[in-house]
Amino acid sequence: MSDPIRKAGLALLLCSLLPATAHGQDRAALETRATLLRRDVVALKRRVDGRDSLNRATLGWDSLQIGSLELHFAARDLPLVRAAAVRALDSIAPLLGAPGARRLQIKIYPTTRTPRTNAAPDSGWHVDRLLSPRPGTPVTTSFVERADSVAGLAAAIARIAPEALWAQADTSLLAWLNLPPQLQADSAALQAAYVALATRPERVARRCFAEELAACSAALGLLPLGTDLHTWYDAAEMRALVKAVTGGGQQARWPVEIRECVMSQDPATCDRLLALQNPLSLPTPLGGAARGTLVALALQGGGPGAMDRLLATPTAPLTTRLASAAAQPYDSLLSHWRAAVGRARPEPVGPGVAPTITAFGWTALLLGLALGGTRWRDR
Amino acid sequence: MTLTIETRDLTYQAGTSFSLQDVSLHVPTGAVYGFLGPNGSGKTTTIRLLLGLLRPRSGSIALLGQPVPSCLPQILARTGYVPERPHLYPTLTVQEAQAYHAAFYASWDARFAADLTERLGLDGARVIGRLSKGELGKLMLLLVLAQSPSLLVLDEPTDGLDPVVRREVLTALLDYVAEHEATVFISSHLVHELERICDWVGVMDRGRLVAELPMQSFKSGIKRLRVRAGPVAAGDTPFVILSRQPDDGAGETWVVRGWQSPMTQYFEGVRAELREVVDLDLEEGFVELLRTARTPR
Amino acid sequence: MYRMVLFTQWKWGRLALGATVLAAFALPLVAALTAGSDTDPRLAQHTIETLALLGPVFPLVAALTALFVAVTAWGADHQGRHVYALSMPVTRSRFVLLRLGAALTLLLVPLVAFWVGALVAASATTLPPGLHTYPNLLALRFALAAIVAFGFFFAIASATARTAGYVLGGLVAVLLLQLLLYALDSKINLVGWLLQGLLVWPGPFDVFSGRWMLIDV
Repeated sequence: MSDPIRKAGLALLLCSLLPATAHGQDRAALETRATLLRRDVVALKRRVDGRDSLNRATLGWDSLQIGSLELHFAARDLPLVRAAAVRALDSIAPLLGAPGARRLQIKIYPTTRTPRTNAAPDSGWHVDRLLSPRPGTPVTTSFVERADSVAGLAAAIARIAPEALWAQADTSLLAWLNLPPQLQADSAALQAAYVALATRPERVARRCFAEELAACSAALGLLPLGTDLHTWYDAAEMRALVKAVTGGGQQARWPVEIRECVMSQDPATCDRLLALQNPLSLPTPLGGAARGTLVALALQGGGPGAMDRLLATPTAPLTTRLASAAAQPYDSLLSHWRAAVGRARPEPVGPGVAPTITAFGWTALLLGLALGGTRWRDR
Repeated sequence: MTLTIETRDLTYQAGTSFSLQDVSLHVPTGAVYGFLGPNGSGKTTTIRLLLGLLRPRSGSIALLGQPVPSCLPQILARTGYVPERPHLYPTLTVQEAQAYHAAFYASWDARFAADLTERLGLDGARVIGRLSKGELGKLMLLLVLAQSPSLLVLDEPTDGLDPVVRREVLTALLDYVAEHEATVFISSHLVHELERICDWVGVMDRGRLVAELPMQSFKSGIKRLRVRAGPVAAGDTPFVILSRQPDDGAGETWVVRGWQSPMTQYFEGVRAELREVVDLDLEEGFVELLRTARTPR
Repeated sequence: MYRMVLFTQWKWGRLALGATVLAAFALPLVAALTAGSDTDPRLAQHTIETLALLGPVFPLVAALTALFVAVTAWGADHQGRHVYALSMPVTRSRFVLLRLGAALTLLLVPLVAFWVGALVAASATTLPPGLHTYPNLLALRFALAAIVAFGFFFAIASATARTAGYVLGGLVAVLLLQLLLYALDSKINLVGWLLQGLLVWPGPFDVFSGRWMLIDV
């Protein structure tokens, strides 16, 4: 639903509910009114959608293929879109491989955004990927103001491209990644990975933090499926997990199996109980954020065609695919990743030398102003 | 005659509504100088200028023979100032206020302060914020006297005090002056109060110094004359006629300034009869002076 | 002289000072208590996240501490319209130095209280491996922020009401101008520039930004 409609609907709903609440009407009456209002909002939405469709139909659509980018846009925007696409491609092409090997479909449609004030409405474009996202994956649409034109459009295309790219990836890779990563591991992502590495509770993560590379593989979920639980958690952690996931309420009321696991410390029972859980509900040592940096580093290191190589063999083990994308042995990639994450430790909480000196400088200046104030100056 | 306070053509502008114009004060050393004027005439502003609290637009100021503001710390070390409004820190006790004040004045006389505390009936443990107006007035005078100043600048020091406290304060002040031969510059709109203690008087009105003379001249120079068959036009008089009004009877009442006994001859010359010469007190003289200043002849 | 000025300042602002000392001492303890004290590695993430949420409170308390100390330094004089101070036989700059020295001495009390509080909190906290306490660095950051803010507030408090009005008026003018630009659909972001200039190095309040974590990786 577009913003104006959502706001109109919300406003209508609030306007009608407030007086009703004030007069103490009963719940049934309120629900009836809410239903009527919802109907109004739906009707309004249909009208606006119809108008949008009509607008687009009259605009005339065009498409353009530059390298791996396939862009759909209003015909009148051709020069702008072409220039923006060329610029965007410069930053993402090295990862995409041979031209035409992979097609990223992106749509750019003119739109008008509701103004934030009573100033003129913001007109510009929405930039979005054309393929429907997989269920559960976040959808990013990017609004570019007309005034930003080429630079803004290029940036938006470069931002949307990874999503369009990952939308074509195989299920096993996406399930492992959980969230589609950026194509390049920036410092913020690496810093987040460091924090995850330093703060994850599982012993395997702690061992990875201590630079034990085999443990890093396990923590990243790169060992064969089925062995993860045992590599991720030791017996004590599994008991704690069972307690956390299933053992709410008073101990006396726990089912026998939980008591056997938690209190009698029977590992087999713990295994069995955790196997019954939805794997997604169990905390993974190093999840999407950390894994994304590993993939991004592989793509960065692999150079041209890295993405093609990553996606080429969906049935191969992830370690093999990552090594192929990175064009280097897996151990070497993992070592590189661990080193990169280790270097990304957030700045310590204390201020640096320069800020400290600056702070004292400013303080001296301010206090100097106080001392030299004109109010009582002798002359 | 040496001067303890001397200003020349002092001018000050406060916003658009009030200004001081060409105030030239001459306060002799050792004098008790009464600074008179109605409310809003510029007395407090002049005092603030004297003490460097305000910066004049033009003119010069010298206190104790030193220029203001360049020698202010030295001047203030020998000057006791009681402002119009209480300014002491209200969280301190009487004793703490004395200790604080003493820290700034090398000439602080602790024994005198203790004596005066007892004499004025002040409780050293009382917090200043809880003192009555009278107690506060006593404390402020105590603080300035105990710093052994050569010059005392007192801005309405007895304003709002009851007669008993006022008497105590003035007595303490006069005792100090008698003992130390200090100069006192005291402003007030209570004319009769100054009449008894001042030997010089300066009168401010609407931002101007309209008169400055010895108290004796001021008091004796202004007379009320009862005149019969006075001339229609007074002509060239040896005195200044401040006002001239018909009596109930056939005569007139003149208020004059600069009167001296031999001037009775003037009336003989104009064939008028001078029936009575009446001394005016300071307050009446002050009122007549202001009247003249506002409607110059 | 200094001793008496310090005494008057303490007497005038002792309640506010007490409050700031209490707040400064308690803040690290509250942060540590809120974050939890447990060696259980599963709580590490929770600890970091909780402390990150509490982060903005530290600079806020530092600024408030500085504000209280700076304002109470001049409180008694403001009430007496500075007449008492100005009638003392010292130069204006010397009197300001006395006030400044006394205020800085008093400011030390909450700063030390914060440091002690942070040390106590750090020593009483048991952490999972990978996390560390930073009581000294945090106390240093707190002190720097408080001192810079103190400089700012002290300068304003020691100036005339007119100067304070100019500072406030300048800020309001920037806001009004920004609203005008906003209404004209301009892209110029004056407030952004102002904040950038103030909060980003080498701006005066750069020390207020960044990570304020008693416990961190």
